[in-house]
Amino acid sequence: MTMDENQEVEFKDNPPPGFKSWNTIYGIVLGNLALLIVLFYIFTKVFNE
Amino acid sequence: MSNIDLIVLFGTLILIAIVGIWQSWKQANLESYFLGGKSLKWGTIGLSVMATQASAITFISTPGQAYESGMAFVQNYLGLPIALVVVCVFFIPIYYRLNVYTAYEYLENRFDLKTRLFGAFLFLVQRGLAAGITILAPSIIVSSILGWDLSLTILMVGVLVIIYTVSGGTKAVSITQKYQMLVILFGMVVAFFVIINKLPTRVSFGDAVTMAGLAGKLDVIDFSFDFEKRYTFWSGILGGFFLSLSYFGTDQSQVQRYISGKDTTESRMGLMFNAILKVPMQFFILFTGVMVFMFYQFNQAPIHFNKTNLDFLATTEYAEQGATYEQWSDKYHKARMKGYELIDLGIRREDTISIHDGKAQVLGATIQIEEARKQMKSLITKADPDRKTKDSDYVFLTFIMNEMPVGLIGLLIAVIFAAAMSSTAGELNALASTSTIDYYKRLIKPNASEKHYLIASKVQTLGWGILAITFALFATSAENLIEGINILGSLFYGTILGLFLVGFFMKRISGTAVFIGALVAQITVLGCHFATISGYLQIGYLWYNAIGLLIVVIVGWLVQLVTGKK
Repeated sequence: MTMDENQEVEFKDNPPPGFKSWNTIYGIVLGNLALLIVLFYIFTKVFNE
Repeated sequence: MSNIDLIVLFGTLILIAIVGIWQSWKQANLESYFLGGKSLKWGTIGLSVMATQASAITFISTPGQAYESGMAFVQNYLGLPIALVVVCVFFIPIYYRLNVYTAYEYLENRFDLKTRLFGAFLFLVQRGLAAGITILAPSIIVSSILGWDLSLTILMVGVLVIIYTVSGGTKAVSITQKYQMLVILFGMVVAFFVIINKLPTRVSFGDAVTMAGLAGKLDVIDFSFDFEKRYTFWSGILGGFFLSLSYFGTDQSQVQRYISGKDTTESRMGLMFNAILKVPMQFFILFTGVMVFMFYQFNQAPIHFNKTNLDFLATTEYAEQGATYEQWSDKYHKARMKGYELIDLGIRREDTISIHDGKAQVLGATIQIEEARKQMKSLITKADPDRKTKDSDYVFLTFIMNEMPVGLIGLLIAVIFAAAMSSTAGELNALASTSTIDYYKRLIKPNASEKHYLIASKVQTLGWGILAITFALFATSAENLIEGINILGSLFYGTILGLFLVGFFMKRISGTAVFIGALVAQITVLGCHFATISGYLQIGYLWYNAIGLLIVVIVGWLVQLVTGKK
């Protein structure tokens, strides 16, 4: 592929289905990760005693 | 293996391949062959991304790893959701804006041709080797346990994958991966419930979890900051972040999956699906391994899970000594069972002394059983020093073959093969797109017709498939399977990621500066690895990603500073 063929094209950057912005989805994903880490920590503590 | 199992196994695999070929039969040009006509929905993308990452090794090795070392391995995946968010924010818009077929086209757009070719070269080397391991690793274990011929097993997996990948391209790969992943998830959930059901009736699920905790198998999170430990929270969140960012952001086998989406929304949703599900899925697979461990607390486990090694030992002068170790293990398994009965009695009579004595008996017997296992491994090494004695990769399949009901055995072996085929297909498809687009079309034949490129793509897919099969046929062993693939990736990912991150965020750095940085980084990472395996250094492999990345950034920046011009 030559660089001439690699010209930038316009594309639609739509919001996610059911939410106003992608930041909300990213927040949910990172919140979910934080929750999992807390649960794993509790899990480790509870079953390590 | 019964006829019903064979029908379930081959029926599942062949049916999925036929559906994949059927739904992607006509390919008119490169876009339809390598990007599926940009028509895929997020559900297909999400499962396809998951299937590409989850190789057979994931389902063979991971439960065995939990059986042996507990659940700390899940920490490796903690950086993954963060990396996927970064890919959605920065990488996806760039790939869509440039309308690329491969990730490495971006490098020429931002830097120059040599940087693009270097990035593509690193990918081809790394993924070309990995494709062979992806077929070889499960074939060794499955053929050993089922008593099948290794070469025939490799050929069966490889040829079936080549047929639908060559004929249907990306669309066939993504469609088959979707169905393969559904079979995999269904099979693993069924396996988990069968294991729980097979625990003794007096042991509830809660009891089993508590006992697994007492055995030290449920230590998931380790916050200690120790570079020599392979799995800690910090290595998982930092090293795992860089590994995942490089893998999902710059590895063509993943990039190709999500840029086949109808638009950025479909691509992002597919990746967010993985960001939510991947860590719980890994936790679940490891937890299944822990439950297999608990099953073997109450049922006689083989003294060594690799039956081929035991069969070999039986033919040597050490056979008698091996039999003694087996008796030793049997004796202490019975003692351990008595210990559990004592605990059970103590709990029912609320007798703390019985509970205490029972625990001591279980602990003492377990130490003896572990010692017998160690001695058996030493004996195998003594009989043949070249023989691999790590048997954790054989634990889960041994359990499946010995304990699962008819029909489910076929389904679970299908899970292993489906996983091998899905990741191999993704790899072959990505290797062919990179060699076609970044080398053949860019350097060798720039102005040919679409039909010519389509045929060239199919020929290259076939070529990479044959190369992977040949590598698998002639390689002799693949120990530490899941780690082997991760180590191989970590050797190259830091450098590749460095090229992309400099491109995105350090606008003043030129192609020559980043190219020199990438060369220095690659040589340094390879040097660190060889120093580690030679015993001169002790660096966990996840840190290679961060080291490679930092060197590209720092050396690139310094070279730019010295040369002083953009």
